[in-house]
Amino acid sequence: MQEVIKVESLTFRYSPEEPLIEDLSFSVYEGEFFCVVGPNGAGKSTLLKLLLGFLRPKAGKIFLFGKELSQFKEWKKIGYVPQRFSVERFWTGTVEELLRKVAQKEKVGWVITFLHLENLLKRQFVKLSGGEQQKVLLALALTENPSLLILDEPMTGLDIHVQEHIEHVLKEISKDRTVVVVSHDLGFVMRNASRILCLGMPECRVVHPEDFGQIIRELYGLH
Amino acid sequence: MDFINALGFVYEGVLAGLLIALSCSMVGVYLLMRRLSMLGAGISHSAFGGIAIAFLLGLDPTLFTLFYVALVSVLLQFLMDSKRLPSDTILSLFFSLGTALAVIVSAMKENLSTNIYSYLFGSLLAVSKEELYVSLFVFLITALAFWLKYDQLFWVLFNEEIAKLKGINTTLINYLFVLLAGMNIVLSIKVAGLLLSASFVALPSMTALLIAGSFFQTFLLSAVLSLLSVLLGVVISLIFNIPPSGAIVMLMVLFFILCFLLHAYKARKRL
Repeated sequence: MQEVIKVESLTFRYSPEEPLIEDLSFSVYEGEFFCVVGPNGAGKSTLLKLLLGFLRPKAGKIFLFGKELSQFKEWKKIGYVPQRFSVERFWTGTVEELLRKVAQKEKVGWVITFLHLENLLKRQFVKLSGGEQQKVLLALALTENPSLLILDEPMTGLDIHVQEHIEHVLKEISKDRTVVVVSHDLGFVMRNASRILCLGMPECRVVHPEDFGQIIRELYGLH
Repeated sequence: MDFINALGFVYEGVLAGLLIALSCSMVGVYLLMRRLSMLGAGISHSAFGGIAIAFLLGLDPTLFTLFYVALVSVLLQFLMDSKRLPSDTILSLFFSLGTALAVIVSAMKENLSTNIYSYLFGSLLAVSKEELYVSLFVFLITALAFWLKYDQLFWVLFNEEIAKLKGINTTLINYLFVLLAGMNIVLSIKVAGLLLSASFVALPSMTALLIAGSFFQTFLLSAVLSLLSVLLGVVISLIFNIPPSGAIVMLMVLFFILCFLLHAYKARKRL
């Protein structure tokens, strides 16, 4: 199977004294539903920022679709859904403006139908509910039909019905693409992940869902 | 007839005022969406220091201050990018530094303070032909930047990470528009005065943000409100013989209050 993401001996620190990520190595293969978990401050979102080139590692290498990150240019292959709280609340654009900026009307039609966005098109993004915003961010990431979808905490702050809908959508779209999700929702992770990267332990580990239950206590420091 | 004559007398000032208001309305939306509404005050007070130095050195105050503020704007963006201090703190420092510099320089030479302090209130009537040309030049650069970079700006203001993934140089966009904001603020000092120049940038865009239904509408409404305020403000100032800058900004405030009430009424009606 093709390695979509390959991380080799990755080290990153915000301050010189405290390495947040140290000597981390793992691979994500084509078609996987790969989840990243760990307690707050374990470096989950930082890892995504490193994978996407927003931060520079202190040491180690990252490969995307076989190419080293610095050489990688095919960003259209990657769809990214940031945490929805990172959108500026004074931003006045509508859902329609957002989608039109990504692609022409004919190309976004399927995403609008797939995510039931028909009634939201004329509305301003910042005035939508959390669940609606999440669906729009997902639509933006999907419009260009990426091979790899990366999501940062897609379930945070959403009610159970919206969570179920987003989970269903992610299941559907993961059938023909690789998905990497950072999540605090352990139930979601257990139900969907093909493999799980556990950050924040003395030794970061990649485990299968059936082994995940055994290390949750250790991971979150529960007794 | 007196009114028409008076209008002919202030023709250059009105034209400069319209150009500056229009470009300030555009950069104002950018600043507000980036939560940098304090930048207007920070840069205008920094410019005050630049104006003082220009007078001390016997240089053209408008041209020198444009270059001075261009440097200040780039430095500001660099410090904000470094994220070592919050933006508000950085802007407050520049605000204080500029004012202190102007106060010290104005005491260095005789009669210097009269020239420097005339910039506190500004005047449409005092705009020269050369300053009109400079205003036209800055307006054209600003309009061109917004026209060419509109889509990139759209994504940078929505979410910088998504913008970066789309291959947009977010650093370049932020430097460019902060630089343009700085240059427009300098020009608004001549028309509105240092004390009111930040209003030229902030008020129409704040009003537009309240009532606009889309990203594009926000820029359009901000521009329309700015133009209306300048035109009506000049007419009112000529009729009632009051300073135009005060009348213009008073109208901008009035438009904001009216739109705020309209917005509140609509929100209440929806409940």
